[in-house]
Amino acid sequence: MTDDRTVAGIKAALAAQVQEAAARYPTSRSAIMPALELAQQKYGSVDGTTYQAVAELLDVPEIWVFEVASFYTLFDRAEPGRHHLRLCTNVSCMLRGAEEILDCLQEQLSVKDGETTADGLITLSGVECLGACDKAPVLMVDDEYHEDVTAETLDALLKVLTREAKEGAA
Amino acid sequence: MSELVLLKNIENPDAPDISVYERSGGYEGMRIVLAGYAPDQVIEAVKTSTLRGRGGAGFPTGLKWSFVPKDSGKPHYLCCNADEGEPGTFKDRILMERDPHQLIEGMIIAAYAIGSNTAYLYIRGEYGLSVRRCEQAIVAARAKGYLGKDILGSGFDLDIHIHKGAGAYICGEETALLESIEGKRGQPKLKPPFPAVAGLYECPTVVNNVETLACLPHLFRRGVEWFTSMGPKDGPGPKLFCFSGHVKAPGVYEAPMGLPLGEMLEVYGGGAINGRFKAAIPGGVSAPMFPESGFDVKMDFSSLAEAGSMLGSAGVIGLDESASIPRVARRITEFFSHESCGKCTPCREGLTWAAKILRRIEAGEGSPGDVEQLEMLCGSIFGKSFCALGDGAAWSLGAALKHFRHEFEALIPVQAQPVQEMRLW
Amino acid sequence: MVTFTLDGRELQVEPGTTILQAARSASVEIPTFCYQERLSISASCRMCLVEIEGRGKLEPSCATAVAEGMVVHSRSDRVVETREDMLEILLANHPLDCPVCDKGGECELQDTVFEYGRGSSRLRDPKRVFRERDIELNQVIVFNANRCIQCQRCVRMCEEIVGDVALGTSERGLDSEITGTGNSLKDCSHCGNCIEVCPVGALMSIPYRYKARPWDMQRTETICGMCGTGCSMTVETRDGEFKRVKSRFDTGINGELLCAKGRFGFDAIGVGDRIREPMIRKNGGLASVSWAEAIGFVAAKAREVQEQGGSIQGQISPRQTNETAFMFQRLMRQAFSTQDIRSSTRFSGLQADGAIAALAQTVGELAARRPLDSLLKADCIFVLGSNVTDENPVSGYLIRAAMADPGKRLLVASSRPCGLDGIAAAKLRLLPGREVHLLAQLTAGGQEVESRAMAGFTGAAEPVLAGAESIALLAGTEFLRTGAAAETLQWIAHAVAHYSAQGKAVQLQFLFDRPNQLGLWDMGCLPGVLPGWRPSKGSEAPADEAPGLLYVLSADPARTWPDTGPGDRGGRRAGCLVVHGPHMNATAELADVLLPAPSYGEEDGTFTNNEGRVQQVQAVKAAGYDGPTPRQVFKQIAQAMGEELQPVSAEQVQAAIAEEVPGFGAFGVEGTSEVPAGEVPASALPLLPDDGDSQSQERYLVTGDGLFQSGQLSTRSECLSMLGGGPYVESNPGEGYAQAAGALSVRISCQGASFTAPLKINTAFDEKTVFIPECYLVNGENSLLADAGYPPRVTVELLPLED
Ligand SMILES: Cc1cc2nc3c(=O)[nH]c(=O)nc-3n(C[C@H](O)[C@H](O)[C@H](O)COP(=O)(O)O)c2cc1C
Ligand code: SF4
Ligand code: FES
Repeated sequence: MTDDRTVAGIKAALAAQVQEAAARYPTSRSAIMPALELAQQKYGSVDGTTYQAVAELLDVPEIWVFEVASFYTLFDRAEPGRHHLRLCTNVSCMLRGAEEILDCLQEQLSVKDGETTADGLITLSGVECLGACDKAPVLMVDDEYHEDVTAETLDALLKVLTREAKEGAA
Repeated sequence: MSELVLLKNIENPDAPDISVYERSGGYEGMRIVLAGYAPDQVIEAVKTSTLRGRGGAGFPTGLKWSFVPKDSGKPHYLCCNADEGEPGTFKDRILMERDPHQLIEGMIIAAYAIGSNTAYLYIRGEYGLSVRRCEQAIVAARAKGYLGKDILGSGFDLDIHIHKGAGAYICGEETALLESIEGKRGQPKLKPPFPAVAGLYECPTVVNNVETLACLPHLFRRGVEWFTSMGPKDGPGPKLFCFSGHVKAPGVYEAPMGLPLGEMLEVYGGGAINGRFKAAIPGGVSAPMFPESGFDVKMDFSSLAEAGSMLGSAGVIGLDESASIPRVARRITEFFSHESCGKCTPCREGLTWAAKILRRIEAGEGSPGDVEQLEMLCGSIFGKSFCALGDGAAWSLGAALKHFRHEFEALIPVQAQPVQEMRLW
Repeated sequence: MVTFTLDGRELQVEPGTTILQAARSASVEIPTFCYQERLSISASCRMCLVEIEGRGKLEPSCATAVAEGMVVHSRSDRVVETREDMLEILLANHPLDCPVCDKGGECELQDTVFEYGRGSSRLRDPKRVFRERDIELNQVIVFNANRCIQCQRCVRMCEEIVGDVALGTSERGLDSEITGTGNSLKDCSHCGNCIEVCPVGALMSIPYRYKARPWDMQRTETICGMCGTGCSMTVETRDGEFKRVKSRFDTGINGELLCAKGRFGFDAIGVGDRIREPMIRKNGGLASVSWAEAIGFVAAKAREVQEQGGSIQGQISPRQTNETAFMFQRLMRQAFSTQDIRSSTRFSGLQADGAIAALAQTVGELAARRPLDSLLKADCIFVLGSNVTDENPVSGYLIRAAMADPGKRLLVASSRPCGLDGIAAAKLRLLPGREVHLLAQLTAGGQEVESRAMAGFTGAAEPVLAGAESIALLAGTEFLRTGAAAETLQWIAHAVAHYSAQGKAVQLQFLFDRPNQLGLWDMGCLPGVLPGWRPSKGSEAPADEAPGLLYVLSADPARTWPDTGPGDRGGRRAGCLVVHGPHMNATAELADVLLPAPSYGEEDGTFTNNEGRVQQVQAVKAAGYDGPTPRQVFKQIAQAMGEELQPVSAEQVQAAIAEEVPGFGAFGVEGTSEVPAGEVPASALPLLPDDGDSQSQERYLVTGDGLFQSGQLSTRSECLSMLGGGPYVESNPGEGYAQAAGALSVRISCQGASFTAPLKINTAFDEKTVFIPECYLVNGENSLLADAGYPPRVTVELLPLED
């Protein structure tokens, strides 16, 4: 998660993978989504520099890249915390306490929905259905699903994340 | 419980392994097709089977395929819709995670039928494990010669590419899905022309749901007769149902179509968590809910349609006595307004406005006339939006208002002033 | 034909017609927002929903084709109620700030709400507020997000017609917002077509902002004075003061399209250093004199030159009207007895032997005089030797719009990168003058191919041309600056004949960069060519030496005279220089006599555009001087010489033109004219400058108009000058300079003259050409173009940019 992103740097870093992705489609525009995903994997988020780099790599107008980046919610346009917690709050999860869990998370982390903790460790988002309604409430921690979340399992999870962060820092 | 077809490997953790899959009869359907059927015959067989799409609209699959022109001179595309975003639905994820080859085999059969040499599997971005399992399955199938050039000496070539979504429910709508693969914002496209004529890259395209495609290997391995013997005549075959919400035993179940909703909630859902069910949503949140008095509706395509709802994605959500319908309606409307692509006026503006009013009512700040305004909004969205997202949103909110109007009204403070008409000029 | 019923009326329409089109042609109003003719159909606003019997849902009339026997209701209760609902929903979030909104009074939403709205609303929750402030997208376009109704017309306009893809949409759902990213906005042509198509006050013009109310203004329908495309425009003034230019879908070649020059360049009218009274050079300085004295002086000088056997030359600006041009050539021919009439000194290639005859054959006879629109129906559009998107931007938009048809192919061969390159089936960077080689290669084959690029182009173009049943050849005029002008004209004629002989419908039109170039030639403002392209009898080849008297009407030929020092009148300097024009300029500085004239926008008349369409130009303000009009001046000069020069009034002049120019203003729509069977031109291919080795710093200098330039006219526009950003050199300095963008300037030099300006990197240029907009080649720098032949070889040095 570096912040010294330059157009040239991003292009050099992603060129090979982006070309590989583009080869799967008859138009280079189709590779905008895969390219943004690759950039986000590498840099943690996408920003203006990323759009320009992707546009240049694929030889498409830059606005097309930005349109895609802002339409789809999985693209983070602001630097997220080290971990992104996405809590499903849709009906099935709501019926099993997701809104209460969201309140509880907001309180414990002292952030509101969509915000990142002051230490930059955790971003919290309430999201739409994650497709695991049988295990409601569901919490996506980065790209892993945590199912049947309760106040207790949540506590344990937050402890693990915090401990890891401390160990990482040390 | 009857024989499991789609879920037969579900408990086997090794099922994603191609050899395990093959031992259970996997890729036999594909062999039968490639060896013994011309593409037209495949389409005929699927037509005869009256297989209906499992993605929501229940359109007859064979009929859809038959719209693909034979001599377009352009490439044809098959797209598998694995964007599964309908709240209350998780069957496609289970199929991809636990038995991905079943889907890959189905895609090969479908691609062969419509003459597609390139297929895209559009998986929603959140489904990381599904993506990995399907990627592995594609690699394994390719290694076996089931994908690539001249599959099993049939002269048929096929490549399958995964296209990952990135968080947009609307991309489940088939034309929005195609736009998304083309690298655009996922907004629905004008129909006609239908995708079968001008779809992906303006070429003939078929979009099918994961479960629809997963039916195909069985259909061809066991025959059309076997297939039509399962469930209702006008839409037979194996079917998955998802149970969630206030049910004791949430999960995916394979069950015959045509059982009453109430019975399914008890038998598969395991009954209500708190007391009794007061309502249930039969097919994902786009499908209008039934109050308990409607629980004898049969869970199949036509019975549900006749009863004013739909089988949809077969995501059954039970709502028991502890549920507040205005809250449920508010949350569903918020979902649709969040997922509205923004293209058409009624959905973009109307749903957000409805959500605003619903939030106000829930917070005890409603006024007499608010329910009527919600009804008015439903009326101006339903049947008038560009795509079925708006329709579904208005339809399901309309049902909540109709069956549970008293719950909304009960939240409006008695002393509140009625809504005034505002003169614009 | 398909028969259907609309509101109880039986109608017959072409198959494929939409209900909306059918309704509009039957004068049945159906309200729309997202629909815009020429743009792809969106069907998203849902205002145009109609009821079709037998269909459960209402259908968008903009997107639904009429079917046989269909019964449609456009004003049933359901339809009316739906419209009311849509408007109520749209207004729910729309700010009701009409009193302060620039669009008030001409807002489609406002109008539609009055006409179809319910008049009241029950939606009383707080409105969404996107942004507190308006966003300036660039120097001329400002965006108010709150007012946007997401019709997406601007985005489609920008992408589908203009081709910039500068605008797009961010977010989704109710958060959807029209936007540009930093870099996409750099591609904006500033044409303002997005403003024109915006139905509400979301996109607005900064120059017009808060200037006036639509109902307070006087409107004048006229023709743009920038280029030969000849766009129709409405000039709006209040109390005689210019406010803005607008355009309407239903008028002119352009419909609602205009380019930056047309839309934002009108502020050039009436400004500049005007010549306000007649003057004569006395004792080295210019002194004001009476009209009578000045006219008498000119007449006496002319007489004197004639008596001494000297020559007289006339030069007229291609922004003059047909009427004035016609009388100008009469003055020259009747009173001054000269055939030496020139209408564009830039086209020095026309001085070569045979060039005028070739011009008469190719431009005068062969070029199609019919709507561009009908040419653009061709299967293959071939743009030769023109950067059409910079010089004739609206023609460029129309070509792009035509290319929406997937069956069509476009070929582009030009010296500069063209905005259509990206959609061309083949493109070629070609030095001006080498069109000959390209045409010879394509139509006569066997010629030695001198460059790989040309071989690549012909390889791709040949099958396209061979497969096309119809070809539209749109030729630029840059080659007229070169020594190969005559040959190029012949080869163009040959190419038309060649493809016609293959049974193809071939139509030729020229892309002139000045609004009345074609008209001037039609009027006989050419040496040896009378009005109507008739050869003049007994015409002598114009003298090469300096004329005894040079009469310049509104032009500025001295700009391209070599500057050999102050006081020096130059080898080309005439014995007596008469400058009759609106502004002081390089030529006026040298004049012996100055006569004021109206500028564009100050007089009525007609222009003949590139299509050959004669269009009415109207004054929008009074002339910037007191005194006779140019035609009255001509008459008085002739009178002073004892000649009767008639007529003067526009109607009478037009009648005289009609007599001498058969079919003046006749303008065909159907069919192709007979194309004479062509022979391969006998002339040997002219020797052209070789490619030049890429190691050397030598480049070819090409010039012309950029997106914001139209010669001197545009330099007087404050708005265009701001957009154009001052002098620059555009080129592709090659690999390794990308980082230097914005940090380098360039010195271009040639034979002792030099020009230094910031470098604008454009990697679509080939490395051997550099471009400087012609309007910046002033004073000494113009000698970069003088004498050296065109395109001149120049030395290029990159320098760090001085602050
Ligand atoms: C808003 C909306 C969302 C949809 N989401 C999905 C989806 O997630 N998965 C799916 O298979 N079909 C979805 N559909 C239905 C598809 O448009 C399409 O009908 C289906 O993929 C066709 O496949 P089938 O014929 O196999 O059912 C959705 C439709 C709409 C209008
Ligand atoms: S109904 Fe309209 S705004 Fe809503 S998702 Fe469909 S097209 Fe987009
Ligand atoms: S004009 Fe038809 S939907 Fe907008």
